[in-house]
Amino acid sequence: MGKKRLPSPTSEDIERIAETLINTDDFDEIQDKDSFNLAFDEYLGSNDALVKNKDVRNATFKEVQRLKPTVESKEVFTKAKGKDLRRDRRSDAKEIVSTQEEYTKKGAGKVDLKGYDTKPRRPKKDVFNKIGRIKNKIVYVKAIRITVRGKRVNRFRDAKGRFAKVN
Amino acid sequence: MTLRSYRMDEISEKRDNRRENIEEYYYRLDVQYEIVKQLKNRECAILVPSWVEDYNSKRKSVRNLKVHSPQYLQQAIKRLNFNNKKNYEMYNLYGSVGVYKNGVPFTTLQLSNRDTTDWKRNHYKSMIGYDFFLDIDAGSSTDVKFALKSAVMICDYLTVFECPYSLRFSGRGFHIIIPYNYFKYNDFDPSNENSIYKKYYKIAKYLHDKFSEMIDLKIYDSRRVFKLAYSLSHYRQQSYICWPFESMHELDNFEIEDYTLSALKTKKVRGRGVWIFNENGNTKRLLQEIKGVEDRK
Repeated sequence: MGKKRLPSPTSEDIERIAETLINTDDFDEIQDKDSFNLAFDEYLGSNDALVKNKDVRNATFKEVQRLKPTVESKEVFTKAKGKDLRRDRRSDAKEIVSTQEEYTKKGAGKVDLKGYDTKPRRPKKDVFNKIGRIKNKIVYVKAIRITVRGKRVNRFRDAKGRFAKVN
Repeated sequence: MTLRSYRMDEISEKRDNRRENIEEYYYRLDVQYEIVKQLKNRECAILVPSWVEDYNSKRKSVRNLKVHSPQYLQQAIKRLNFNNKKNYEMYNLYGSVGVYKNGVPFTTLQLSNRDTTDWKRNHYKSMIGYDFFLDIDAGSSTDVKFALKSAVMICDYLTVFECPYSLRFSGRGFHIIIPYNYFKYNDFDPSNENSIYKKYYKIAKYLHDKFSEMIDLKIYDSRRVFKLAYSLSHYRQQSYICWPFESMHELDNFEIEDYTLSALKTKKVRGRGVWIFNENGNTKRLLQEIKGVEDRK
């Protein structure tokens, strides 16, 4: 039995997804189809079936290009046989090339293309992933390391920076 | 179709298989009656839990079911597919928060023959009520103690204002529901600025800011469904019963292990219903308090 095709995305779906992407911090880093794919995968997750739909991906890319005309359709990194954009374009590459042709020829795994870097990936948004208590209010908190009387200890703070108890 | 049901004394204590326990539980007549009672004029939905990542399983979720008798429920729970070999493919049973004048118009389970487009667009026009629903959601079973604390604080607060509410365990948190007949809101059009959903959002936001950030604020829309009391809530390791509480004493002694399917599977539920605390109260004082706080801001 053949695989059933997913329903076509509506313009509303595309707007919703593009809007989610625009609101992320990574929107500024989208410069071509590769960096778009990375942001798309990271922020929209792999669970949503609609996101796996190629039509959705392509339509969202067009919407992103409309909002940010400087985004190119090229896939420089993929063309240079790069596997994971999160680990590449790193500064520790032994050789840095200046042209795309050279980059494609030598391969993304060995060389770095000058002026084509992405920032190291930040941890995901769910930093405030623990539950704590401030007086009588239940809040989401994140773990931090601070120094108390010369000793490094774990503490928890909520989004407003207030210290919270987690037990 | 052969209808199948178990009486209480037929429940075997020895069978330990999770899937068999689920099947036995849902085929109990007392459970079916309690579930059907809640679905009067509401939409029934059978949905795959959010932790199931398999897309093919997700696609088997069904909404817009009309369930107004145990027979219909039995047909619907056939969709729960107990004979399926995939162990993770388990379904939760939901009812709509909204109440419709004549329920949902779909009686056929021939899902491919249904055209729900018009219903999706115009469902709110036949809505006659929409409960206020507060979802206190714990991300993991270890955080349930915080959800419990949040629920206790909110229930105490509602009691101070003599506000009626029902309270139930949801598997990973608690649901506090104020039935729609205690409110006078009747604008169900989601596009309106003064719609009931926006008004409920404001109440939830107030309680969120005052008591607990575990309150989910993203649930106020016209097609929202909630887990039905006495239905099962499935997680990877365990299934829990969405158990409605009859007294605060039950909440004081709450231990999550006491609400697993295996712990409660032989407990009688017939006639137990869903208890409304402060049944003779009203929401007037609560709404006045919220309005007062907003005005002071």
